[in-house]
Formats: sequence, structure tokens, C-alpha cells
Amino acid sequence: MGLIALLVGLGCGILLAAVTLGLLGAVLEAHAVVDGAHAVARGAAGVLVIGALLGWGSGLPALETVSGTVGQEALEGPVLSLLLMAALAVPLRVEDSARAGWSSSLLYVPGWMLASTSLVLMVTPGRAPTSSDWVTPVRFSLAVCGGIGGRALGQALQAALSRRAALTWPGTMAYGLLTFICGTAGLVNLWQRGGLWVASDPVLRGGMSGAWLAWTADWLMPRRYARLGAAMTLVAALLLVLAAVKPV
Amino acid sequence: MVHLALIRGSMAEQSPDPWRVVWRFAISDRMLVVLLVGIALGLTLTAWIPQQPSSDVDYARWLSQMQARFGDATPLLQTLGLFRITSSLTFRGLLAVLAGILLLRVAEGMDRLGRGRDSAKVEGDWEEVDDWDFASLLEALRGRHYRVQRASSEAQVDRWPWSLVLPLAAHVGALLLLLGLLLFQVFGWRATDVILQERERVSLQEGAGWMALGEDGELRHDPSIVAFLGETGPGVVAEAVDAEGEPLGLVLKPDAEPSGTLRVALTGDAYFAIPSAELVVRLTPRSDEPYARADVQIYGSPTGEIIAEMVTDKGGHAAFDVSAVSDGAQVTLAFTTAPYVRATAIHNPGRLPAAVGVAVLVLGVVGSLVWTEQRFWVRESGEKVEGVGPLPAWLCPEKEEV
Repeated sequence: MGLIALLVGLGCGILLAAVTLGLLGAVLEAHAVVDGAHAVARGAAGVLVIGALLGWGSGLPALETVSGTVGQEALEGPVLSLLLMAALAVPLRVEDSARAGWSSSLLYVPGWMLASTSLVLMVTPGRAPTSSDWVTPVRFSLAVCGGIGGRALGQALQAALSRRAALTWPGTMAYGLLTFICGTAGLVNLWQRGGLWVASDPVLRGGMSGAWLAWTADWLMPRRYARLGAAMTLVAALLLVLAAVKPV
Repeated sequence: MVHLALIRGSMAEQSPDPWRVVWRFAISDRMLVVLLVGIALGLTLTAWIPQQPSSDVDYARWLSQMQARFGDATPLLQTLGLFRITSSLTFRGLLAVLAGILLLRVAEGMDRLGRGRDSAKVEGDWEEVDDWDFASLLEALRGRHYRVQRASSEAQVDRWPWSLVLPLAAHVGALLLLLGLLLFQVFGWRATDVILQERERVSLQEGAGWMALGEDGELRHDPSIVAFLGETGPGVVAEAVDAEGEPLGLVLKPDAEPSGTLRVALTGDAYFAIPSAELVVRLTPRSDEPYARADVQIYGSPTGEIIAEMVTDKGGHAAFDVSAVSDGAQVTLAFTTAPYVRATAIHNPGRLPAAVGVAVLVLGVVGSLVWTEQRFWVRESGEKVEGVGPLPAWLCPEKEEV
């Protein structure tokens, strides 16, 4: 097993501990435990960021010597995107208003799920290799966007299942970034290939456009329907994550 | 009677104008949200369900792939139209309705932009704004680049004109993008998998455009189209001469004119004939590599008897001597490597509106995300400061909690 699998496993474990501590703190009404949970989650985010950086960087010529140590052979396709998304989906700072209560544990659920899925894919033998070269600017940007979207997903989960409003910036940033990525990809395609999505693979074409429209709908959703808005954010973020990891 | 007329008059005043109701419904955010969700659903499905190709050549291969993937559910998916989502009437209808609604929203936005210069009526209920005194609040608002229009103890605050101009730009951009797509659909065309070899020029869409591959491998094309190269593969230029060194005519298709030089793209097994020597040549590439070796089989015609079997050199070059079937005279066959490329050509009259539309749309959306706040009001009420409208989060942090 490579170094990255170990790091992701460690990150998953720490995140699970953070979720458990958060729930325990809420049940015991012990604020120190809740604060501890958030500190632990920051540690998990750090571990996952190191894993993601090693994963994406192991393909670079300068790091060829360490590719065997990090277990690069297990890092094909969606695993790389999942890793980066998991690292970015863990919130580093939780507002005081969102911190109290059991629901703050939900903020770490998307990060934990993404990290767990990448770990399962990494250790599963006989996975079908992806046909195309995964490390492209669009795939990387989508993964970054999906990671921030994952953070918005956690906040939407919290908003939907409790009576706490979500912070808007992760969603706004994910939507803004996705708009920029889709727009730039569309303009480049129009210039080089004469059409908006000509010769781009259908997964990226349908996934990115669908996710962008869903985020637009989420952005336009009147804010007085808080839970409906949270559900919309949830759907949009899920679509974005799926588009970022779907192989051709 | 007078009483009845008064009641009718009063009812007429109270009942809203139906056109106004329809207008409000059409430009409402809810309507746009529903439409966008519908279109998003359709587009997302295309990422998971491969869509039916437009050309008949690819259809059979695509259908067998779908049957292998979806099994017995394939006919059901086909009946539901899930293999032709983006070309379906429903999807195009949704896009048309979206364009109509965007047009109405642009008209409304222009109207609001015109009205935005003046002070508007206060809308909503006043709520207390904690931790601020009126003068320092106005100072803070100006410091954050809000436009503050003060009238005695009340002030109207907005981001005019950006809070209106940027969403308007997003709408105009989306409209231009849809116009670009429509222009391509109606007047545009696309030619895919056009096979080209060095120094070859092909005519496209019955003379509507052309493409050529230069000696340097550079693609040249009609200025009205955009063309790009795809995958490459093996190919040869074939020539044949008789014992006296006179060139012999070669034909690729039965009805074609004989030619001294023949370009053959080896996309699979390829055949050509040398009618004057009664020979047929079969070429089979050993791989898809551009400079792959090829197996050459030469048959007598019409007997079908194999006269010679050879392999081209590494790189695809070769020269063979064989005997003609008719008179036993020597025929020299020469092959020069000439890899083929698959090219795609697109004529898109909607390219410029679409490009401008995308740029304006991105600018409008990203700008709107930065300048999100709409108009609100603040006032001094005795010791307290009150606000009404969509107050920014930094002004009343308790609004963060639902």
C-alpha cells in the first residue's frame, strides 16, 4: 500500500473521529469537546491536502523518483479528483453560529465520504483503468470546484436538517469558479474548434453544463425558501462532484 | 344601480390586470428556476446516457454498444427518447421558452435600470439594526462603495448601477449564446472524420467549403470554416510502371478514372486495381500507427489467384516487381508512406454571437456574485437605527440564523 493510501486512511479516521466528537459534544453539551472536534477536523484537512498534493504532483517529472513510494499506480482517474475534492471539502473555519449543536458534524460528512470513496477505489484491486489522460487543466479545475462545492454541500446538509442557515461563500465561490471554468472552456472551444462543446467528451459536456445550470437555479432560488434552497444546493453540489469524477 | 356601478368599479380596481399577472409570473425567479432545473436535468442525463449519433455509419456500432450496456432496458430508453435528449422537441421547446423569458427579463431589467436613478418607495417592514449609530452607519456604507441617497433621517442605499447592470449583462449574454446556438442549428454544418493525406484537398458539403493537407502536414481550409485535426493512421501513395517505365493507371473504385498515382488511407483493409495488368492489390496495415508496415497481397483478376505476398518496409515504403496476368510482362509497384489524418470541419455562423454571449454571461454572473446586494433603506428612529429590505449580512449578523 502506498503512502497516499495511508494518508487518506489516516484522514478518513481523523474525520470520523471529528464527526463522532462533534455529536458527543452536542449530546453532552460540552463546548470544549465540540471545539476539539473542529480542531481535529483541521488536522484531517491538513493530512488530506498533503495526500492530494502528493497524488497530483507524483506525475511530475521532478517527483518521478517518489512515484513508487506514494503508490502512483493506484492513483488513476477519479481517485485523483476525489482526493483533491476531499481535501478541499473539509471546512477549516466554522462560524460560531454554525458551531453549536449536533448539526455542525454534518459539515465534515462530504469530506469524509469523498475521502472514503477514494480510499476504497485505491485499495480495490482490478479496477478498470481510465482510457483518457486524467490530469488536464479542466479536470483539475473541476476537482477544485467540486471540493469547494463539497464544502457548500456540507453546509446545505446542515441547513436542510437543522434550522441553521448556511454560509453563502463556499456556494458562491463554487458557482463563480464553475462559471469561469465553463465559460473559458466554451470560449477556447469556440475559438479552436468552431463550436461550444465540439469534440469535448459528453461526460464533461453534459456534466459541466448540467451542474452549472443547477448552480444557477440554486443562485436564483428565492432565499425565503431556506430548506428548498438547501436542497437545491445539495443537488447542484452532488452533480458537480459526479461530473468531476465521471470517467469517459 | 349607482351602488352596483360603484361595486363593479371597486372590483375592477382591486382585480389585477391579467397581463401584468402573466408578465410577473413569466419574469419571476421561480419560473426561471423551474426551467433551468428542467434543462439541467436533460443535459446531465446526456453525460450518463450516450446520445444517438447523427450519421448512419456510426449508428449500428452505437446501437450494439447501447444494447450491451443497457440490455433489455434499451428499447424502453429509446421509447422514452432518452437517446435523443438534446435534439428532442421538448428540450428545444424548453430552450425556446428560456429565450422568451430571458427577453422579458431583459426588458424588465432595462425598465428597472431607467427607474433606478430615482428614489423608490420603501418596501417591507422595518427592523432594528444593532450596534450602529446612524451617522457612522452611513459612513461605513459609503466606505463599502454603496450609493447612499439621504433624505433627512432616512437613506436609500444601493449598488446602482452595478446591481442592475450585471444581472442584465448575464441575461443579455445568455440570450446571445442561445442566438449563436440557433444560428448554428439553422445555417451551420459539420463534417466529421474527413480523411486527408499529404497534398490532398477535399471539397465539403457539396462545395460549401474545402480543406487541404499541406506537405508540411499543416491543415489549410476555407476561411468560412474552422477545421482541426484528429487522430492519424497509416497510408500510402501507390504507383505502378510497366517494363518500359511507363506509368500504369490505378483505380480505387470501379467507376473511378484510372490515375497514375493513388493515395490510399489504410483505415482497414484497402483494395485497388491495375486494370491494364489485370491485377488487384490488397493492403492490410499491421497497426494503427501512422508509419506502420502493411501486408501486400497481389491477386490476378478475374481469377482471384494470389500472385505475390509481401510486406512493406518499416516506415511504409516498398517497391515490388510482379508479372502481369495478361502478357506476363513485368510490373513494378512502388509504395511511398503517406499517413492519413482525420479532420473535422465546422461552419458556424453563430460563432461570434456565441463567443460574445459567453464572455458577457461570465462577466455578468461573476460580477453579480461580487455585487449581490439589492436596494435597502436605513433610518434613524429615536435612539435606534432601523433597516428594511435585503440588508447585507455584515449589517445584521443575527440574520445568518434562520
